[in-house]
Amino acid sequence: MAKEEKPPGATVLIVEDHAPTREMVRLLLSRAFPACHVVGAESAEQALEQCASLNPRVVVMDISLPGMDGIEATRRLKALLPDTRVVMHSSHDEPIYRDAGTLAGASAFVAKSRTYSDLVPAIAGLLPPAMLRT
Amino acid sequence: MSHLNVLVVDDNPQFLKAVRQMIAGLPGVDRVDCANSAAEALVRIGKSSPHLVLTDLSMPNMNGLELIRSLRAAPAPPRVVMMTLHDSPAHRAAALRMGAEECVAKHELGVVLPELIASLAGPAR
Repeated sequence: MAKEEKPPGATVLIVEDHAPTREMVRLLLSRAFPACHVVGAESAEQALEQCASLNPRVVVMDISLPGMDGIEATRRLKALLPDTRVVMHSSHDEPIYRDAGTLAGASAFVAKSRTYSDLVPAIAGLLPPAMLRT
Repeated sequence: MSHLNVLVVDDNPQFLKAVRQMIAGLPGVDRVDCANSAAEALVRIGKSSPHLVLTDLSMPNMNGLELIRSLRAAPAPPRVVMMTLHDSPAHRAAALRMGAEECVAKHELGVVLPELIASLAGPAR
């Protein structure tokens, strides 16, 4: 992957193995938060490798991932970067998954069925005000 | 006895209504507001400065733990009690670690709330 010029501002990392979904979310968030650098990872392992250098402000984490799942990835990521906020983003909208994400350290849970209505407000609530300006 | 302003936060409108009715009748309570989400709670807290916030742990979008974290950053944060569907040590530990005063299973609210409100409505420390 070619390195892009990173604009000043917070980094948002999307962890999603389904490439079309990852790209859709990346576009959605790039438009909503132009001051942020929005990047993607296709697995939990790749995300954890990138986290140290990226130091993302917010991570959008799918639950069902190949290899390590999103709940375990959240737990490990929060141990590495306690100030990073994690938004679980999953088609599994049952309380058991929400609770598991919360206990792993996630700050929010957005069902994939509500991506277009809820994901941007959920992330906006976790970014510093300066990152919300266009 | 001081007059408490209380904010209840839960994504279930029926539960909110039930808890509001329960609290509104307790001695020492002046006002009970409700919020259907953590985001709405943050707006209401900025406007009404409640003394006590009762918040659900598990809500869509921002959860109760993140709400507590956001409240702690404020200059004079309200006291917070976490409400959970299940009485689990893990939930309790997470809530207390984040700064909640107490973590109460929802089915115990009828017993715990009157005592809690009475202790908060007493003389200031």
